[in-house]
Amino acid sequence: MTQALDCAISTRDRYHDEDKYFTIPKPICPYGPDDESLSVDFEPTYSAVGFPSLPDESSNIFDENLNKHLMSRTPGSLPVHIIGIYGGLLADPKLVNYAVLIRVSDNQTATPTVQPAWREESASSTSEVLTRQEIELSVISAIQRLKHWGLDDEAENSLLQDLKAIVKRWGNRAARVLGDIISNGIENPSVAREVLRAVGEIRDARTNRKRLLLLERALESKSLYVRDGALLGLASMCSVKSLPALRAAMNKEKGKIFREDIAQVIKLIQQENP
Amino acid sequence: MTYYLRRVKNKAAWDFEVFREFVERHDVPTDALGHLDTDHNCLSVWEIGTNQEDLIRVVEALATEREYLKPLEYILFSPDIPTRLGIEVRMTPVDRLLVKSVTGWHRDLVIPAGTKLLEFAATIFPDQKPARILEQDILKIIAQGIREDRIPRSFVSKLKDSDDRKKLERLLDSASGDLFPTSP
Repeated sequence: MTQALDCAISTRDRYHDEDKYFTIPKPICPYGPDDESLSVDFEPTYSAVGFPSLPDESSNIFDENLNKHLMSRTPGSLPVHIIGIYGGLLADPKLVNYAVLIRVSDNQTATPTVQPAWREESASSTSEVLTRQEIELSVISAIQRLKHWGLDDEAENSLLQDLKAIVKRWGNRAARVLGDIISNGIENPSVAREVLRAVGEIRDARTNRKRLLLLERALESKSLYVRDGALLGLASMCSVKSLPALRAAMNKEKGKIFREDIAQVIKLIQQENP
Repeated sequence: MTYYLRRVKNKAAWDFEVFREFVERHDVPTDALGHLDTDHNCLSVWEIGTNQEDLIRVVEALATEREYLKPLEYILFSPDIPTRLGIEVRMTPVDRLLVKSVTGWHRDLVIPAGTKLLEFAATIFPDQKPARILEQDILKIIAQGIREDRIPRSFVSKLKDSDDRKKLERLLDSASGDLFPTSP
């Protein structure tokens, strides 16, 4: 019998811990929480999906543990083999729990049949959601690294490189996630300022419009730091398309100092785009 | 007439119009205070004239000390303030700079006590002018400095980000030698 199944696994603490907990959400896999054999301690917030990879050492560990678990719960069941990992063993922001969505088969020679999620223009809603989670985790991790390392040139450049890589990989989806994370409010306004500056520094024509819009929106923030970061981002993008938003912000701005900063950027954009 | 220029991390922290309550209390936002880090109890500043040329020279010096191209933010304040507060000002030439012409413009404000630093910060806060040179202008200023041999061309390879190196190379290769910074 050859059958490929999608299933989700969440682990506690570390991959190589003895005790693995996993379950398979019903919409994804025929095994569901109702199935005694696999209904264990699943925390849906940690499920993540990204791209299939060939089984590696970590997947072998899963493979082994999954089979141990299956055998213990359902004696006599056929061994299954992981044939693709979706999500690259992503960690949640606290780096405690891990989750992967895997594709398993009872045929050792089976190969992954699902294309990488980011290549699918019309990805299924499940993989879309899970891809979004992976992008979110990548962005949050990049931002947290900046927070922990402190705001120096090296750390800021590292953030820029991380965001460049994320946007390059996921395009507008990443820009959308970035926009949401920023509009939901990054806890530390100084960090938000650097994130916005980096958003403007990324050179990626596909996402220009989205990034411009998110920076323009941030220009309306109540926080001066956030507005300033948005202004720096728009200065980096140097697009005439942002001039109306910049003029509107200038008219609205009460403080003379920041108004002058906006005027400086408007002048720059006009000079650079004669 | 001269000014003292102090590089800061984020000029928005120095916006005394937005943080007006600090002015009223003769205080300073902690973020702004954090930009006044001292080394051996000395606060590093640059003394410049009111002309743009002096500013550009110091910007060349500060920008070429870094390994990334990014906006340069600073505050300007009157040299009278440290004098008024009894802060010792030392002329301390900096030898490590790529731009040698400004070596003698460096000053150390000797501030051994934390309370004095706080008093100094609260005094300059309402009287300083925060400003910024945008990255594009930094790029032009550096390119001009290289063309006019104030900055060695080898600076390009000091930049860690390949995008930064490309931008500067492109500007150096372009025919235009004009410098029209939008910044003050």
